[in-house]
Amino acid sequence: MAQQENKISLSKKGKREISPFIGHELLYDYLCGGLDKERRAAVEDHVKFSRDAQLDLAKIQNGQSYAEKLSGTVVSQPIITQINMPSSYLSVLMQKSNFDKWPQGLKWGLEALVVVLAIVTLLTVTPWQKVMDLGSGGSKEVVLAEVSKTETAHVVEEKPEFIDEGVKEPVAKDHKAPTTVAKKETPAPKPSATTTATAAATAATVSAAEADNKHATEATPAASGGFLYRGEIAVTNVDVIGPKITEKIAELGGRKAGSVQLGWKKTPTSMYYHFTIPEAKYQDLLTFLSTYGTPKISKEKHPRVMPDGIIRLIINVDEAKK
Amino acid sequence: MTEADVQSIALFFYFALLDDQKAIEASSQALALCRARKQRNSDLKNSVAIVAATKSVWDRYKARVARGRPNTTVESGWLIPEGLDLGPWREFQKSASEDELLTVIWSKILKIEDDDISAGLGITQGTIRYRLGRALRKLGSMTQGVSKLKHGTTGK
Repeated sequence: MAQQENKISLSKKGKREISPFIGHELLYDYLCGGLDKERRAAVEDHVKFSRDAQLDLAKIQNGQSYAEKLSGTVVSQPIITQINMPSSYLSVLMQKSNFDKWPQGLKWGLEALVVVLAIVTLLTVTPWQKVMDLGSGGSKEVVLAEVSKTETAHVVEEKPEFIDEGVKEPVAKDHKAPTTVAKKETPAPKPSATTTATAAATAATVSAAEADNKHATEATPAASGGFLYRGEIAVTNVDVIGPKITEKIAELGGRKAGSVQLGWKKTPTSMYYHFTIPEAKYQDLLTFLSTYGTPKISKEKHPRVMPDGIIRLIINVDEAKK
Repeated sequence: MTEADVQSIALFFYFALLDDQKAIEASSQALALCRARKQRNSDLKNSVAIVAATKSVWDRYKARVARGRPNTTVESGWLIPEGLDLGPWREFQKSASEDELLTVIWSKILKIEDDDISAGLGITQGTIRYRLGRALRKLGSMTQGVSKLKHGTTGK
């Protein structure tokens, strides 16, 4: 067997010749040095006499040297780090779902849907009540400032801060009240500290002292000068218009100032409004009242000084005479 | 897997896909695959695992990449040797067969031994050498073409 394998068919000159095809295919092995001596000699002979083989050999050498140069390419550290990072669930999902292959319109639609869902969720979860409370904190502070001047908030609830001039019946029952009303509504002729001190010291009862103290607190600012807006308006069908005015005053931020409710029915044909309102809303109120009649409102001096931006009004709404 | 292995995988996909971003994505997947293979069989040589994993991921990516339309930028972090023209390689990547392209990358760019390539692919070394011979001849003809054009001779 070994003898048969060693029997290689040689040419007449005793050389081991190869065909051009084999010669071409062995060029790479020849360059790499992967051939035995006889094969190498045969390929060398082939290259020596074949122009094509010479060109091919040059091409392979060129290709090898070019690839050698390419192998000098370096990958920067950020890319290595990026590749080393474990892939996130989202990226795996994107790969699995072939997101790249999806139509552009579908991708944008999906993205828009995600954004809309996020916005809706945000709007739903946000505690709007708290946000609104925070936002309207400033206007509430104005009211608190008004209360703080009376020193105790609960007293304001029980005892009216202002005197209702139009209320006659409850006043008649209390014999002390008329004097208080008279004192409050009539500016003190001599509002001095000594008179108030004397009055406080000689007060016999606690109620009298309170009345005097209140008189003092109101009388003192008279020098600086407060104002009261007093007026009247004649309307047709006061029973219908009255509640609308009450509603409008409340809408504009008005609050009752005396002891009676807004729109107190003084007589069957007259309603009484004693209230405070933000000064900025005064014009709106006038405009509203003008739709039902001609309001006649005058600005009078009054010892009571209101907080900045707040005005006090007393308006009588009467049935128009036919 | 060492950093050199990661670099090899990255280079493989860079030259095979000629797309910066897809090369990173594919490399990341191939690296994960490589690690999984090594975990299953700790005796497996790194280079064999690299060949098998890169081939597997390449099969997934080859349909997504339009060969002949490279998407690479200089600033992307792939540092090509100075003065080297990528033109012949782009031409080769476009026209060479898949087997030729991948074999050149593994053998000549990543310097993986022929027997490791054949082990990774499950084919004979003779086949690898045959593919290499044909591929290098093609690549060489492209570099010559570029060289002739650059020097003003068209070979006539």
